Amino acid sequence: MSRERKSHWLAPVCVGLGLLVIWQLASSWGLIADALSIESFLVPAPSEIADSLWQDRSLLGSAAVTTIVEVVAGFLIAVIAGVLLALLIHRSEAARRAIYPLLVGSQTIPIIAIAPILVVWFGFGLGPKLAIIALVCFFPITVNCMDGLRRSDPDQIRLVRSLGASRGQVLTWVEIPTALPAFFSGAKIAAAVSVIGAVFAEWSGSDAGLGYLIQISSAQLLTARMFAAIVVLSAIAIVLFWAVGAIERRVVFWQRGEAGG
Amino acid sequence: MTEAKPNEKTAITISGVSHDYSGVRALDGVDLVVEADQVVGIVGPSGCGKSTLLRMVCGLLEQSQGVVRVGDRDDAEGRLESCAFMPQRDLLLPWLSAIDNAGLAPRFAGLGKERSRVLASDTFERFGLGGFEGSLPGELSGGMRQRVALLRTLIADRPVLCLDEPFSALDAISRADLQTWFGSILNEIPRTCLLVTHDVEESLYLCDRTLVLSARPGQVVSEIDSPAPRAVDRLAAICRPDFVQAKQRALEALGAERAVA
Repeated sequence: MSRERKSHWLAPVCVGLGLLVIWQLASSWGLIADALSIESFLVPAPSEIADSLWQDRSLLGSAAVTTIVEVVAGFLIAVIAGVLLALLIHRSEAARRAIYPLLVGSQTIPIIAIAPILVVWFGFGLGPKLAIIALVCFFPITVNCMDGLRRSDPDQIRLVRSLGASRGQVLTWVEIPTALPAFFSGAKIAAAVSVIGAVFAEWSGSDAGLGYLIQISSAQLLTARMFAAIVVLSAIAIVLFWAVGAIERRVVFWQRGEAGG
Repeated sequence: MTEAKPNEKTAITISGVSHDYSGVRALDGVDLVVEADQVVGIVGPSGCGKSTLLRMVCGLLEQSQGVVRVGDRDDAEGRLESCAFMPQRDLLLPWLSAIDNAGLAPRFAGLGKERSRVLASDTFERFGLGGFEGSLPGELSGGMRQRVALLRTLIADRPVLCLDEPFSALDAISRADLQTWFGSILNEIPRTCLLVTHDVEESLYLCDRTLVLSARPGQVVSEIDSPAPRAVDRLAAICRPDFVQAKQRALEALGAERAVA
């Protein structure tokens, strides 16, 4: 492994381990509980969280499967909706004028407030959960995709037009490939925040999933299990982020050389 | 300067063409007749409207006054269909291989991927690009990229080539090599060609005649016939006394007597 590649992961791992050691010591000595004036069992040490990850693996695993299905499905819905909306806004000035303010407005509504309403309307099934996750995810995808579509070089468009490209061919041969890096930037943001949507959705009405597990563990003051569920949620977001990045490296293959200089 | 009259061999007719940008006159009453398979250079100071004139011929810009006719079409759409445009930058699509970039025009016309590649590969070797068919533009040198861009322009198989400073981004040695090479290509595959350039020597070497435009608003101030257009031995051609005299006349017309001294 090259020194440069090693330094990519070595620094964050060292910082992370350092923080864990500080947390472990502070927790073992009761420093955090004393500072917060709470019972020491409410502040689990990393070792207790690790223990919960192992002891509750079956519970966490089945909850994680539920959440992963929700997150992946909601994310994919957001990708499809976001890309279609961006294309519509890009192709039609009337659509831009009509939809863009609503698009921005949709992000001013707190998801945590709208989630219970969706559950009341659509029940406790998968539908409202997917809608909530998609609502959280689609905005960065749409906005980045729109910006990417507008980023095409006007000279490049003039050139392909002079080579006989129709409007549709300009879109598929120039504008969409140009927009791909921006789209993936939006998709990576969406991947990272998708689990937040899943937790809101499960808090609003659910009997499964990691969000639900956090909720019931909170009621039972099982803080180590709460943290263990958060660790798994974080891991899901990281894996999804990494997966989108891996797809990006394959799809936007022409940028590999540029990035490497 | 004699005023040329259109006849049955005429490929391009520009008559009394003026153009304004936001009320500022960029071109003023330009007349030009180019016969089929003739190569005409346009030189002039920066901002004199050379590129504007070229874009009008290509149908990428509509003139404020006058008539621009390519073949028998004087509408922008018709001119766009008759001309292949090559801008200053190569504008290769970074996500397509060299051969797919070269074969863009047949792809836009509905020819399949494989047939377009076969069409391009016939001339790839002759353009000094053999073995680089599958390379991405980012993997090619500047000179090779320009060759691919020129091949793309030629494969478009339009009656008129419009080249906007095609070699200006290259270093002096690559530029001289490509001028010789492009001269041989034009001798082999004669085309009607308009070449906009800052380089008087390039225009006199590659073109049958060179039009000198004045500073803005651009007007034709001189027209100079080349003594040895596209001679095989470029160095010998540009050192000929009549070539040097022609270059001096062009530079004087450009108001660059001091540069000559």
